[in-house]
Amino acid sequence: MSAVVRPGPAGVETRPAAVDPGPAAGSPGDRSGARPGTFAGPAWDLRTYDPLVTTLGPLPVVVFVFTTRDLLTPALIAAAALAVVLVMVRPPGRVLAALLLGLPLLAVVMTVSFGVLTDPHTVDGTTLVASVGPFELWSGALVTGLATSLRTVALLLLVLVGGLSTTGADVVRAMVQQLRVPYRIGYAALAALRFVPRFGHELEVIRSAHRVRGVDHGRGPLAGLRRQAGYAVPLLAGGIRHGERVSLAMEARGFGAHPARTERVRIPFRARDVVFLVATYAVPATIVLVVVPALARSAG
Amino acid sequence: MSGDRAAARSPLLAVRGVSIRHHEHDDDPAHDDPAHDGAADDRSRGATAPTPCDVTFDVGPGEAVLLLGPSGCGKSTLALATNGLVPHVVGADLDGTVHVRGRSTADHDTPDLSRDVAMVFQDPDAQVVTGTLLDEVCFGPENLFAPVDDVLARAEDALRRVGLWDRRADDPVTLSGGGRQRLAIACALALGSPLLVLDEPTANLDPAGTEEVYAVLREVVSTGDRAVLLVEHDLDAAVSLVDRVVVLDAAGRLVLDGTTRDVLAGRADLLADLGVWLPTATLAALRLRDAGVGIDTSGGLPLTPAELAALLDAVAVLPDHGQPDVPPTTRDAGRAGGPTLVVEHLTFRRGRGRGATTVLHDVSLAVAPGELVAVVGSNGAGKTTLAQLAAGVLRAPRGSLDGSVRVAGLDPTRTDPRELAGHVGFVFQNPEHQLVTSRVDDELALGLRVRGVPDDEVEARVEDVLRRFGLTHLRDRHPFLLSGGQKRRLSVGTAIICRPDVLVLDEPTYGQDRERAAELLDLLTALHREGTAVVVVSHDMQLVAEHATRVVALAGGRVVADGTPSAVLADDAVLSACGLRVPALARATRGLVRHPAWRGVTRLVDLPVAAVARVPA
Amino acid sequence: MPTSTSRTSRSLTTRYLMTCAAIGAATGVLLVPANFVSAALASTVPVLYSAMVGLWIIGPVLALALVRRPGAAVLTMLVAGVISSASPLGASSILTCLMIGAALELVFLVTLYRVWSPWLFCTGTFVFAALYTWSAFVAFDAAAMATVVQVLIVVLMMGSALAGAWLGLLLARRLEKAGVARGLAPARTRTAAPVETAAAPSGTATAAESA
Repeated sequence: MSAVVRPGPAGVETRPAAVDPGPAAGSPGDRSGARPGTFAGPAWDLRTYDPLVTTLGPLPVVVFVFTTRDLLTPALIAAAALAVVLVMVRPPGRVLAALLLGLPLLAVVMTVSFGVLTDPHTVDGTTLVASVGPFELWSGALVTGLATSLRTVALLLLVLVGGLSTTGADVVRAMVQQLRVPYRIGYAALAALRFVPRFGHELEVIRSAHRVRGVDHGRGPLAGLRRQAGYAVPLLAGGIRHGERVSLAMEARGFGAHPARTERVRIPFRARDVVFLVATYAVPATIVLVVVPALARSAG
Repeated sequence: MSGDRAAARSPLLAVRGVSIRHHEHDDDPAHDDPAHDGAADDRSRGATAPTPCDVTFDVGPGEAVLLLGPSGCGKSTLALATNGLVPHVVGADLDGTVHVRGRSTADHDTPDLSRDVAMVFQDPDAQVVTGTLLDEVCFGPENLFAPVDDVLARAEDALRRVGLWDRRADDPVTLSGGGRQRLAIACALALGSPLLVLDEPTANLDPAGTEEVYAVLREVVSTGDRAVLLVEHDLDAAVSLVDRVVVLDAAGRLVLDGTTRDVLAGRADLLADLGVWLPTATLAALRLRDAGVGIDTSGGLPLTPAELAALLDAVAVLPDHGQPDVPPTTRDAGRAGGPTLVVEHLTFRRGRGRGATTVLHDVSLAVAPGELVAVVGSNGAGKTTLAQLAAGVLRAPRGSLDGSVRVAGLDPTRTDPRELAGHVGFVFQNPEHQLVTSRVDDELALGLRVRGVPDDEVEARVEDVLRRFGLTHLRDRHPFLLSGGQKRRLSVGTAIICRPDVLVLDEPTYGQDRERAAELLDLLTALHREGTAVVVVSHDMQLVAEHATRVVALAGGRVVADGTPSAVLADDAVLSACGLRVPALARATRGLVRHPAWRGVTRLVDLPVAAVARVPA
Repeated sequence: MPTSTSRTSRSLTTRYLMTCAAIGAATGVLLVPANFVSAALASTVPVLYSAMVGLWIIGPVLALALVRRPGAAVLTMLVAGVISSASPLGASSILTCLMIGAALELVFLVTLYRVWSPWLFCTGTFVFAALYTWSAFVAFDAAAMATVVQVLIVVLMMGSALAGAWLGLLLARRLEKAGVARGLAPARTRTAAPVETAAAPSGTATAAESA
């Protein structure tokens, strides 16, 4: 890096090339470090969109999917969401494999398990597919189970659109910048991300310390719970006091000096966000109002 | 900047008649730190006298001032009052006034005052708010609502000054302790405030980290664009940095305010009486003078090892020093029973597969009853791992460990913890981690009860330990409500109440000031003299030199030296391999030209002694 | 240059924010694995899934009981949501958590943050559990399930939610005894406080013990 980068938004933009946070970090610690930061990039990349649009936008659709009971609607919405994930998020191989293998598996398992739970009386007149001990699986129940599983898969995919394309930290920044959430609350949440690795380490130490002391809560699930509660007190006490110390450092650095603070990275709300938001509602609406009736008609 | 003309005439920081009384039972966050132990001690005794008490002093532009005083005198509290954290955030009653650039801290709150006073705290971990170094340094100027260009310019300047600009995209957790503290200084510089207040900035650092921080601070002071107010107990490091010293006594009253040399060298006797720690060179010179060694102190006492060396070389004949190779205890007596802790060819790997790292390489070590062995080395050398394996804290997964560890004939990595507790005690770095009950006496009794000791004996032994560790009046307290020093004593008490053959302590002086650390080491000295084998993991070189009977130095997971303190600490190759600093006294004596016999003197106890014995009973 | 302004939001001190942030971070750490497990359970054994609801309650109840300030539950759960966005649900867990926090805090808002006795915590938990049970019924299409399963789901959800609240109160009491977050809760000191606030800590203690 020869010349000093001209400050300003462009100055920040040059960094991530060198930083390369890596997509879809696995642990919460990584996620906080990974910082897309700039929101600059091609329009196909959902990571460049407003985090609120991708996380909060699909929520009305989520609520709607909750209420569906047929097979076709959730299946089509799930397909649309999957298409968005595949084309606009392009998750890394591991996540992709988990999606493409895991979701069908999830659907099958759910179909069977919910089928078993379904009240047999509601599916009178269908055929008994299998029975294991007291459990009976009827074909009608299987259909109910399939509907539930498709609904769950659709919900999961809708949520993953935002989940895979942004981080909790960026959602917080967007909440501060666009939803007028007080920045002190937002930054408290961001600072809390730094506590997580610390908690992990502390828990490990407390565990071994308690073991060395010969503390024994006995065996069984209740004792396990007592043991966890025993760890929780020193862990929380240490965590809260750490938080208090951090609060001193934050105030000493001017945290709260003004009603607003400088934001080096502005999260843009652009035409692509509007388009995406409109599509978020238009596509499910088309599915429900046009595609499903048409398919039903042709099938009937 | 309209008020600047008025500010230019007044000092940068004006403290006038300040007395601070902490709210009773107000468990303020700043004083949880063990280093601030004294203040907490006072409060737990129910003392109502304010500390500090009626203190008046100034700090001028560009000045570097050291605030000094014995434990509990309220120097940290006073530091927190400079930017209004006391009393706005940390509950306390403040009498008198504090003005910064003409602005009263009573009328302005801390965030607002941060443009005038920047502060660096003791714990580097508790000052990290964001995910990258650059974000971290920008955090302050952003809060002050500086324009983006200005924020970035300030951040770059600050990061360059502490030598971290190249790492600006990294996560702060990837920095060493010293690196994170340098980052905290950069954050303070980026605020652009003319006064920098540092509250025990090196208390949580290893020697290498301390060096780093002082190198940065020296640069800041020499540039002269910032005034510095420093609270620090490591005088050997601080003395070269500051122009002026302000001294408080134990009651928090101001007793001295003058140039570094006038105060530390000119009034050394008074300071020693007050219980204020002195530079090692000054202490040594006092000791030599009192012992009748003819050093010429007419030009003032020495402050640095180099000055002490010059004084010693000016003397024609020095008396025999104490024999450094024979520690104050009789090791041979202890050795008679054979070692209780035996580590043989220990190799330990952490993780598995490609990510596995070998933490310990072929480590062998034997500790006999009555020894006080210090395990030293830089962070990551494997000292804590070794200590934890020896005490059964770390349960090695199968296949990760070669060689053997034996404590009183038992394998600590396999033995039932309750049985093991009778043979080896372990004291964690943070005492709170190992405190599990809600009363001090229950805490002590726990180890005995789980091992089925009869009730009356439990009671007797608890009473004994309470009395010995000065905790009797606190027996029904919640352990978390004790002060840092009391908590530390309690955690040692819980370990020794089972009368283990071996006591292992992980960084027992971490985050403590000199007095608390010395107090603890004296306690350990008493224990090992009674026949307990004591193993201390530490990077505090002077304390190690003073108290240990043997030093084991680790570097990169290997034992690089094992011998008497004077032998190990005089070995440059070993010390540099371990990333350790030479103790101050050794730095003075090793360069002696006229007195080669004195070159191996590393400890104050080895100096000729006057009639008055130093080591407390 | 504007002068000091943080005075206007004095009740929302940084110390209070960071205390809730710490509790929220701990809750979030708990919820990350909980999200994974519950995602797996919801798809296979929804009955057991309903027994996990309590995990979401501990944090906000603990924060409210310890700090006793308006917004503690919402703040804590906002942080928990941010932390637990590293799970299958991604950033949308923020919303889930916020809703839980708000639902719990509702009863305290109604009583103008003057009552902190255990029964109110129970009521709040009950309100939340009822809302959640209803939404779970819709999601799982529980109406189509066998009656035994329906009853089991309701009982487990309520039981688990109350157990979570009890645990939250217990932890708050233990932390209070350890001197944590002292001076944050406004009504904690022995001032001329109304009877119910002065009696609250001891009430909390007995409830937690007898439960």
